[in-house]
Amino acid sequence: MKRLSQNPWMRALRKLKRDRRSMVSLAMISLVALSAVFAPLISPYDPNGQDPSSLVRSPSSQYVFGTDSLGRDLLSRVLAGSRVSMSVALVTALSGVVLGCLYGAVSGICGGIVDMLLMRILDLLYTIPTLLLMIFLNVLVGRGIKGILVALSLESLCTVARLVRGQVMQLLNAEYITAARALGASSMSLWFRHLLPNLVAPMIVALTFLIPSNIMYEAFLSFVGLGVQPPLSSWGTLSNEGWRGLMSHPHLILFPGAAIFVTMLAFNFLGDGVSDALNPKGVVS
Amino acid sequence: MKKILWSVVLLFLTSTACVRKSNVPQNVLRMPLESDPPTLDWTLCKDHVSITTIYLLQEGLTKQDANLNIVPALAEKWDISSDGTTYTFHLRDAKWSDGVAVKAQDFVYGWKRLLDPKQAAEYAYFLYDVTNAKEFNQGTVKEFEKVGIRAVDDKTVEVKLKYPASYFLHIPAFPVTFPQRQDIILASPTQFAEPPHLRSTGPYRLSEWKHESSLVLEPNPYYYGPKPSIAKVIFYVVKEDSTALAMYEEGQLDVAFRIPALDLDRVKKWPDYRPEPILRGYYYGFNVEKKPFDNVLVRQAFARAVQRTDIVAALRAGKVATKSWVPKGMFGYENAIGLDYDPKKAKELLAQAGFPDGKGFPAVTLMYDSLEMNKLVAEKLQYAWKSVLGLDKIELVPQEWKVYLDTLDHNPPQLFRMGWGADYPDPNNFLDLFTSTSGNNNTHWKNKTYDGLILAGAKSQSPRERQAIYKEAQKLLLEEETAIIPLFQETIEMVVKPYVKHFTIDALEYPRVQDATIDLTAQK
Repeated sequence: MKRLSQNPWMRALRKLKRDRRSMVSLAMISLVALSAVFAPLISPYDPNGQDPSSLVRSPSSQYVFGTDSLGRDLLSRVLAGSRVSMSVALVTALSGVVLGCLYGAVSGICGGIVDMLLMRILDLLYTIPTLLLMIFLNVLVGRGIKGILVALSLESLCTVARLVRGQVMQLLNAEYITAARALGASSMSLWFRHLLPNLVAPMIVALTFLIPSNIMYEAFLSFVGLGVQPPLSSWGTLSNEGWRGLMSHPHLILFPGAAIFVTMLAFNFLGDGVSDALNPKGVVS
Repeated sequence: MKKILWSVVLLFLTSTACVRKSNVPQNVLRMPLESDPPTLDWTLCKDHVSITTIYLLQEGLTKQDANLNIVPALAEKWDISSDGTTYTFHLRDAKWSDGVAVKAQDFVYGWKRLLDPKQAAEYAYFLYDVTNAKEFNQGTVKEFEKVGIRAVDDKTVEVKLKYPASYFLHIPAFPVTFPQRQDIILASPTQFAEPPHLRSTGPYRLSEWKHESSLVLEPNPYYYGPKPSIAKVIFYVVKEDSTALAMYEEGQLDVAFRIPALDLDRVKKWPDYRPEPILRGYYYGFNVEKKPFDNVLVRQAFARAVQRTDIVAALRAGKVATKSWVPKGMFGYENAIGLDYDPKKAKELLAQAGFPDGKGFPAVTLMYDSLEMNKLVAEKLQYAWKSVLGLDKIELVPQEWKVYLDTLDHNPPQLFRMGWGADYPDPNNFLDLFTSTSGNNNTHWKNKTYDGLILAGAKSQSPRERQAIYKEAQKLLLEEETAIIPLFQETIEMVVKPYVKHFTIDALEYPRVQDATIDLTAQK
């Protein structure tokens, strides 16, 4: 009989591996991620190249996803779009997590007036509906990719900061922290040895949910015209171009829509799986 | 999870299984409007949506028939002096929609209001051919009595012009010159252009206006002409053309205009489909005061790099590619004028301007108003300038229509898209746009020779001479100076239900509702 490791990380990983849904999702995500990374190599055409002789073609062997109204290959555009969509989501989710951690930790550790101030600022941002806030930020910073990055990072920061603050407050009152303090641990070592490791699990879970929601928000902003500007395309801008043809040329909305749908679903399933696996209270079989 | 999935599937099934309703009401015409009319004050109006509505409600001294010929309206007949500068209009016994007689003084009051510097009406320049009208509007003449319009008696209007303008009879056919009721305006200065205050002289009166939603028009009982056949016209405010088409397909509208490009292939097969050519040009303008377009060679290079037939093909509609500015179907049309597609020449020009292969070319902002069609054209051009001239720093910036108009007025970007629809079918209306005093000249291109030519064209009474003058003016505007790149002439693609008869749209893009009838026997 194989000896099972008692390392909680290994245990979580084992649990995750056993969850078929998560594994299929992970495979899907890897596929999308790989195709995004290698898009320039695997794209059959230049995503911005216009062929005036084949406008709005339905999917065929020549154009697998068909072409759009300017004669651009939709498969190449969806691939190029995945680069924009995925990288925007990843960058904003990561920066949101890092900055949010900092913000929440400062708030939780300092407590008192600093905590009050920082949390009220968050509350204020929370009172504004998310999409409205993003549109507002986007207009403020400027349309295009810069605006999206700022808006989505800030939005992710808000979510993460609250989470982290709660965790930190909870941990600070935990008995082992009190014990560590009593043994004369410096605040530095408290932070790095005890608090941070305990934040990793919730942060990974947050990340798996932030990425898909940021993909969706990016798509939304691009859909309403506040996102990336031509000739750059993301799944959102492609959907915006596509929905108008819904009745006549459904392939234009079908493929970018399916790309968003599949990716979102995969991330959400994986997020569920990871969250289950990392939950120490879960049943260990 | 399974439950959710099933409920989604169920939702789709039920939504598509819903019974289609097509209860077409009796003798009512339902039309879409692309926005709520900014104003129905016909003296201060300036946009196509407002004017579309106003043409059903109001009439002037003259009007245009379906072929844009001038026919009598509130003026039964008119005399023109032998030197062509004095017009005497004799009014018929027409009444306002409240039964009050239309008087010559109503015209004088309307024109005074249009020219009043305090009103700052954008279309005030429409009357600049009238003696002292420009001076009064610009404040150099204070007394309105000196302006060349007067009421000889209750039924006679006399107009004096600075010079014989051959197109002048079209001017009083345009809404801004229509009569106004001083008593109504004084009684409700801010509300007179809304029901129930609004008085009309045309075939219809406005019975209801729900802002941002709908307008209801009913026949004007006091109209002098034949009563319109359709008993009620409803305009619905529908901002998305795709939505309007969907409403048409569902039987909620009887006509729809501007079929989205992607739906055209499907719609073209319907018997309802009717493309109509209109006198509206689509162009790209340069701000000639901003670098690098202060250099005429750069402007010419840009114009030479554009393959118009490709653009027209991508729009899928029946637009007509054109490199000249005065539209086809109008006097003065010269299809040979303008810069043709010539990529080799374009590269040479750019090199001569100091940017061989686009090296060192500054970043350029290209703006357009955010309609789907404009975006397609902009992407087409962005690609053309990149592939032909090697310029990859052309940034596309869309803006919402009202904001966009404001930007163009105050700080036009280096490159912008614009359109111009005829207000009257004379080349003066198209070429006057780019004179140095024109309020609508966003290129900031100023050329004394051009201004002189346009004035000479307005004064001349010989068609042959005018044609030669306008040819020269167009050469200057498009070839030698290249202040704009005309791309194509628009057509309006519309669908009309088969039970709506005699419904047409004229070349100025105004639907002729008063001629239409509804075949009540044909509908179900």
